[in-house]
Amino acid sequence: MAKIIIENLSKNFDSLKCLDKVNLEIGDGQLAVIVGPSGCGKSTLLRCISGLERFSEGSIFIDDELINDKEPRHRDVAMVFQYYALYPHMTVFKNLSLCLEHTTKLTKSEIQERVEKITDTLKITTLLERKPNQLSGGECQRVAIGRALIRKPKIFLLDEPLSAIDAKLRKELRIEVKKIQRNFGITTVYVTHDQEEAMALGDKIIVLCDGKIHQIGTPEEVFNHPSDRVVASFIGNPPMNFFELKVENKDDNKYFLENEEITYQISKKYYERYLYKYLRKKLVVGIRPSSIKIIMQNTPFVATKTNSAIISLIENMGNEDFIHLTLNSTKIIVKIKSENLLKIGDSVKFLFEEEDIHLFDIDSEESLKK
Amino acid sequence: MSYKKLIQKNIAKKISINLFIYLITVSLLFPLFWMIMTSFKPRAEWASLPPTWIPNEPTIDNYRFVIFGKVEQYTKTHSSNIIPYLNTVFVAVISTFIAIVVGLFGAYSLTRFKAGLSKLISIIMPRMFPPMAMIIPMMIFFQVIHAIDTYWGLIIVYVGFTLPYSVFMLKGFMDSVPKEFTEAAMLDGLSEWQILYKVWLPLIKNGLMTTALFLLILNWTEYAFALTLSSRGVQTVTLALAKLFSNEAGASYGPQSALGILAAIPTIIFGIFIHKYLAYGFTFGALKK
Repeated sequence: MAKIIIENLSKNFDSLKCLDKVNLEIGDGQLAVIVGPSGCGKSTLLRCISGLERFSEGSIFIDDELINDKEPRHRDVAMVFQYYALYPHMTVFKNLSLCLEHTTKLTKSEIQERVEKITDTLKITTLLERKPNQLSGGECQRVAIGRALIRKPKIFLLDEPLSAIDAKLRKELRIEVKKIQRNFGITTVYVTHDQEEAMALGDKIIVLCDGKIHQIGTPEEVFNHPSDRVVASFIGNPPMNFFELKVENKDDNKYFLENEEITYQISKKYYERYLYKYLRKKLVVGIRPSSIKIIMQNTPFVATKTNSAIISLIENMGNEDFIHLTLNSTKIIVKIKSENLLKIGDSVKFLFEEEDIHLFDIDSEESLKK
Repeated sequence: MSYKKLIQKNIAKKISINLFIYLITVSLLFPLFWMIMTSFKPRAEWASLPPTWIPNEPTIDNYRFVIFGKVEQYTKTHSSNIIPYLNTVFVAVISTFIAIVVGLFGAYSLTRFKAGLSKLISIIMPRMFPPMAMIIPMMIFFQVIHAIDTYWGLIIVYVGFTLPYSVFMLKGFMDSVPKEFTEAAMLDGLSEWQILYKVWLPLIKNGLMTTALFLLILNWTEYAFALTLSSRGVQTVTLALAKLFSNEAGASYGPQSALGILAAIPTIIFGIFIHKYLAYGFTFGALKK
């Protein structure tokens, strides 16, 4: 049980800034998920916490104790690696008991008991006498999780633990990881590049990109209120649609977001709330694929909120379809419930509500709706 | 090309490859064969023309001669070779053991704590020039420290000259241990010593055996240092062999072959003993990459 506080953590590889002034607090018993594209520094951040990696500046506290210069083995953290890293020459039992034998004064029967308890929880009791090369990927990762948890560490770190496992098993295991984490109540930091996994697991999601933290929040906050364009484009599948639109004022009280291809009327209230500073300026408009509706061309409708487009591709995902629309040079993805009414080449209209629009500054890419 | 022709071509290829392999093997093993046969030949057959391939009257006199130094049939007596033989076993095994243990620690720290090129070069340095160039200064130095004609003196030299090989070979094997294992062990709370002993050692077991065999052969066959630094006190098998060659009674091919066979047997046995490690193949079990 521990909380982690990270202050101004920076890590440079030669001239390359791998982590840039990271500030982070993870509360006792929380499951924090660090998510970001490959090479964004998320694994490095995890390795800094574990002590396997030195950092250039900043401090890390575990339970208010500065651990910058502590050896990994004195930090009381446990880690699960992407490729399991089980000792290949030892049986599962030995893999699990090794650290207890060397770091505690437990007797043989006590160790046996602890091993039995953890293998019960992880459903690997039958594997105890096997060597790692006789196990499947999922079993290996269960053993690796067991090895990490058996000595009841203060902090539990997982570095993309499920990315080497096939899709179906990955979903099962991720539920189990969450359950186990809840049972043990261990402060956990979980690194993944899979935003779906992050959303499913995390109490707290930390979006990291290019070594900088872009947003920290609950899954709901990160999805519905992304703090900037990077977060908005990374979280959500299919990714958010972005258009560069200009704020225009036609007549007196009519306000539009528009470019050569899209015209969208917004209410005066909306304009005054978010956009008055941007009159006749460009900004980035983001809209989630699930927030767009498609209506047939011949449906009579309010013209000001709709635009026409052509269906260029339909991805059938079972109970939902990803519809790719093309509007001259603009490409839009729409996620709708599967109905077999639409065909490639159809000309349709699309529509979205103004509350669903995300607005970002074109230069800073920060959200205007913070 | 028809299927039949393809098969014919494959068979032809296989035969020619195998033929080639057998040819090389035979040419490599022929001297050994000849040596074994000669060692069982009586004196009359040693250099008879035409040569006898298989001894007509096989005898173990040659062996008795090189082991006990005296055989009724031979006018000449020779000192027993038991002591040199045991000397070699002792010196070679001890030196190899020390070089492996020291090399293990050396290689571990070089791999684990990422030593720079300069350190690596300074370690390989003793092997960068012919050992012969070192012999005169070594002799003088050994006289000063009273190490001439002693076991420990010879062991120091052998360890010193095989250690670079030991470190380099072991480092090569250690480099192939994936760093995840080390990191997992570090986080599991193992000390450096435990990481080496519990995790690395079992993983590089094959490499360790290969290195040990290599060092043992080097130490077993060493001649120059034994000759200059310890020829009176600690006779080794190589020296004894050389002595047989310089036998004033003339060519004594039989005893030479016999001693040669005896000298080769331990390394061959050790080689057979560890052959499964020699077929070097790391199986990094769980680590799928």
